Amino acid sequence: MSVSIQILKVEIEELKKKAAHQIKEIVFDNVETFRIKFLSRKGEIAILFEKLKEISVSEKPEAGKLLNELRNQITATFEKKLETLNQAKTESDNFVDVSLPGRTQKLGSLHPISQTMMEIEKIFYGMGFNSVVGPEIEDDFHNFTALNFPKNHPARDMQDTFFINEDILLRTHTTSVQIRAMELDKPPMRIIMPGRVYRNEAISSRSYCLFHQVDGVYIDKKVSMADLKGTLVSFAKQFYGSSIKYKIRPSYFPFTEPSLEMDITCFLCKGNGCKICKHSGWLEILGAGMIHPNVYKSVGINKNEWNGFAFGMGIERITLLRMGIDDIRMLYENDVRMLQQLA
Amino acid sequence: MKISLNWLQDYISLSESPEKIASTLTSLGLEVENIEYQSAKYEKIITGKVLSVSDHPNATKLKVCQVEIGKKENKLNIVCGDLNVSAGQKVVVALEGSIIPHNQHDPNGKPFKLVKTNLRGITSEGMLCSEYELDISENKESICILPTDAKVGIKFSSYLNYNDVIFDVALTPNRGDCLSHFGIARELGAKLNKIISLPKNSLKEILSNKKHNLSIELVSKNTSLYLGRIISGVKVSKSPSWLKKRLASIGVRSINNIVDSTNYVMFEIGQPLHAFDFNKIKGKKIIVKDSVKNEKFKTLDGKNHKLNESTIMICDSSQAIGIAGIMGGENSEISNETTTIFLEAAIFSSESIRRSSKFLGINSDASTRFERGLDSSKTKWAIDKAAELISQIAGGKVEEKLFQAGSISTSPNKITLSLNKLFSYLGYKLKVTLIIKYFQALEIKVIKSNSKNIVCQVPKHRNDIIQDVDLIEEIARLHGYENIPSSAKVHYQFNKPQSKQEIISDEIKIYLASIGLNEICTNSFIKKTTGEKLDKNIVKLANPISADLEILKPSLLPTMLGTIHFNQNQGSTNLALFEIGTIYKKSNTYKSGKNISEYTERQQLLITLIGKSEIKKWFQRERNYDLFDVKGIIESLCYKFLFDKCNFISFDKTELTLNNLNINFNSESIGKLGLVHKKYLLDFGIEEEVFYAEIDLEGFVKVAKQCKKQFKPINRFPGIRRDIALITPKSLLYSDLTEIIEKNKDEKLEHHEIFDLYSSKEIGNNLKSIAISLYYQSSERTLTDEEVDKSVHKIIQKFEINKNIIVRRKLD
Repeated sequence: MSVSIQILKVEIEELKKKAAHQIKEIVFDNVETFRIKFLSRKGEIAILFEKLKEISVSEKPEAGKLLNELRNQITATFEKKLETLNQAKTESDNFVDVSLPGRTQKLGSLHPISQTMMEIEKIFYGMGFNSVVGPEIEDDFHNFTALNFPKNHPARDMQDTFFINEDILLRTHTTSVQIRAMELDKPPMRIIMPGRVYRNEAISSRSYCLFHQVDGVYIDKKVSMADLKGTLVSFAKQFYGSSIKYKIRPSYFPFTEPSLEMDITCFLCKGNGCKICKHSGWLEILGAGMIHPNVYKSVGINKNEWNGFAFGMGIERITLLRMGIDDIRMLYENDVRMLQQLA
Repeated sequence: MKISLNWLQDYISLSESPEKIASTLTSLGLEVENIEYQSAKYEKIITGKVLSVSDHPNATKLKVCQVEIGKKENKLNIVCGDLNVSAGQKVVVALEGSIIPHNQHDPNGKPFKLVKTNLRGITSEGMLCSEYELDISENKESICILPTDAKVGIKFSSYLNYNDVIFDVALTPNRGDCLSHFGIARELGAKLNKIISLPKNSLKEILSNKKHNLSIELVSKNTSLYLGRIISGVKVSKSPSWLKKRLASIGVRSINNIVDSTNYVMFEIGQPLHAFDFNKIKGKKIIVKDSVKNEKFKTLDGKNHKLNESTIMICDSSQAIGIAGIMGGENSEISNETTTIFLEAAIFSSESIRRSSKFLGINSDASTRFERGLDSSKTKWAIDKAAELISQIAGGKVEEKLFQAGSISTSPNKITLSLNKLFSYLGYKLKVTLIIKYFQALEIKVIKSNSKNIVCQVPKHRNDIIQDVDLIEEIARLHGYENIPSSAKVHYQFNKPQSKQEIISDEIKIYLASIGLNEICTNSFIKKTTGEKLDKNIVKLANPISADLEILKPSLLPTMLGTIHFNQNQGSTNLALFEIGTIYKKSNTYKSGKNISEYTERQQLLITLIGKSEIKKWFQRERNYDLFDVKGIIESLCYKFLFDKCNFISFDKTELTLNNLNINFNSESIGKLGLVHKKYLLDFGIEEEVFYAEIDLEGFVKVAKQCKKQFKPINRFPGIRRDIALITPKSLLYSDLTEIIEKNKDEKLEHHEIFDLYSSKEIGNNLKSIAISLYYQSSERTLTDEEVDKSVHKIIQKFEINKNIIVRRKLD
């Protein structure tokens, strides 16, 4: 009873083909089935090895060699397959759906007025100005008289005033802080005065009963209108962009002489004319002037020794224009959807 | 103020474009806010001729007209509501797309755009306009009928010869001299280097020697000059069309030929005038005197007024007949029966007129001019011009006598201008000859000039020029503000440091915004009843806009809650908000309230949290805000700005808040936090829980000033952590446990922290499980387990002694 090596060779070839075919079909779940079928102790390779006993001695070395080759080859192919499968498994286990939305942080926000205010302050800090604040509940002297608004003068009509009583009012401009600063401190001084001011006007889309201002003062020896213009132009270019055009024109404020107002090219229509700039192409952004001698007199500063300039601007108007909000009341409604939009 | 270009041409020859004139005025400080081209007013409105009229098949109150507009074949079918319309009439036709100046059906007569409409089954291809619709008169009843010789098919604006340009000038209150056409012309003349001229009066040639008598007595000290003229035999009627047109061009309604004449002269030269019915002046006497308090007076608009004292009144021998400079009286008003008039031109004190005008709430064209000050050198010119005009258009004779009381003040203002000062102000130099040229252009007389100074005499009409700086502005203005160099050679000295409060306030805002809170900005005013619940010392306004905005807020809470409610209504229910704002109270020293030291203003920070802290997302569960969110924000804020822990001390609930904690730092109270009381929330329509924290910013800054950022060496030796779990009654405070730890710890305990807290049935009702970790570390060496265990054991022993505490297990 002997098995000829020829037959064994055929069987080896068949098994090779079979294994090669089946190994292609292996997926992760039936790995073990393959191993048991071919490579286990009772697997098909082991069964062929059993037949070695029946091979004649002379052919045994060759048959053994062939069988070993078979086993090595199938084992190697299987292991390679296993490795591929394991790798695929790891990849699928570690799969990340990168298209999922991120874990966003809550969107906090600074109020648009704060944003504008801080930006303006930063520019003037850079030019060496200090910030000074004063009371909102003011007396007539600091809000009007010391600023050269005579009693019963039409200039007071420019500012409808809220009164607490005959002598006490809510400041109509932060220029009142200028007087307080000049009383407390002596020149040279270079300060800005941000704060909340009040006007007794009906609330509408264009006006509110209060708004915010930044006033500024620079008092030194020999300060000129050219210095004032230089300061304002520098501010305007930093704040509105270096490409803006500007014009300054004469105006009137009781506390400055000469007085001026500054216009810049409307940044919405680039000067071509739109609804916002009333088709003029220009937007008025601030008022300024050389401090009036009567103001120095009222705080006891020698007008012959010192002189300087003052300027002031409204924050709300600038904010509305820059952010494209068309109703001032929205700034005080504080709709969080708007606040977050403008964060 | 509206200024007509055609009118200006009476005094100055202007060939410049309207835009150039407008920019010239603006560059002089007389800001032109708008240019109105009259020719644009009646766009698509043309003259037409009615060819035929037939009844409307479906309406008795409408007619259907065939209207010719220009070429014969160009006919329109127009439905008309005026039943008197007839063939052959010349009419004004508005075409589709035209803007009709007044809507007859609108209570305010607002303009509207005409569209093709179907009127009861017939399409109207246009509209026949009434004089009211065309803004010509008040007549709404009938359509506007033009004379038979009117040309058909031409623009209505051309028919009216509407070619004027109107400038809307925003005048600053210092420039009373520009409240007239002549005043504006004078400014243009100065800048454009042109001659201006005031037409000559030819009154002398028409004066009559007929004599009515009258005496004037000047009692009021507030009147410096009072001139009067009598014109007899006038016929009060409509004004001629040229006068109506001029007044209409600047938006002034025509009344009658007398009133229109006085108005015309006022808009020409700036001097207000008033005409009385001479026959109504009793005793033929004019007395100018100040009113007494509570005197009553009926003005010509039919309104009754109660006067304050020292209102200047024009009186006859028995009663007041006019409020000087503000409005005439009904009892002396010009009527159609008037035949003789007494014309008044006076100089009343600006201050007095302003006081009275404010008190009475009457702001007339006259009072505006008096308030800003008049040019007394033109008063006589004005009365003569008005008298001449009246006699021309209303007939009548101007009587010879010019009645006068008081006099023109003759002390021209002399000012010395130092050239040094001028140049130092301007930042540039000018030739003296140029300066003198500018002064001359402005009618400022140069009396003396040398290399250092110029002495000037200011003309009467420029009452705004008082000091040398005013002259500097005149030079700058005429030379052009655009010519000021932009030097910015600002000599920057080093600065004082910025105030800590300003810096911290901004930094807190930025920090809170960065951790997800939204900053809000709210009104300072609230309702009185809302404020009274918060504080007794509220500050009330004397003249609030409305009862809802009557007091200054004593806390940021009311407007914050208002904002929350607003947002909830908008559908935003999860809110984390903060505001840094001022709160206002009467101070402890409040007496009469006449001094600002009797009020306090403090900066406050208010944080509120409402709704969900976390909403359901693919990576997280939903969670509501609670007290520990707001407490955590405050803890973080203290770490960030004070570099250390703050302490919390609970206090009893109040009417407004519960779960209250006082926030202390270095034993200074800096604020409080808790839950807003439901009852108070209901006032604002809020049903959800509102957690709040309130920080007194000044207190916070005061503490912050004492705190310093200080580096502590980083400990390089490894630490050991031990966890302990305790079961305690629910009512036992965590702080009671930490107190035991603090009392019994040794220096090796670096810190301790709660890391778990729960209750369950297994643990038992009214009990909770707390797990605390203890971190041990030495800065000198690596600790051994044995010594740490010993320390932990000491603390555990203390817990075990306490009969309320069960030490559940020791965790490693």
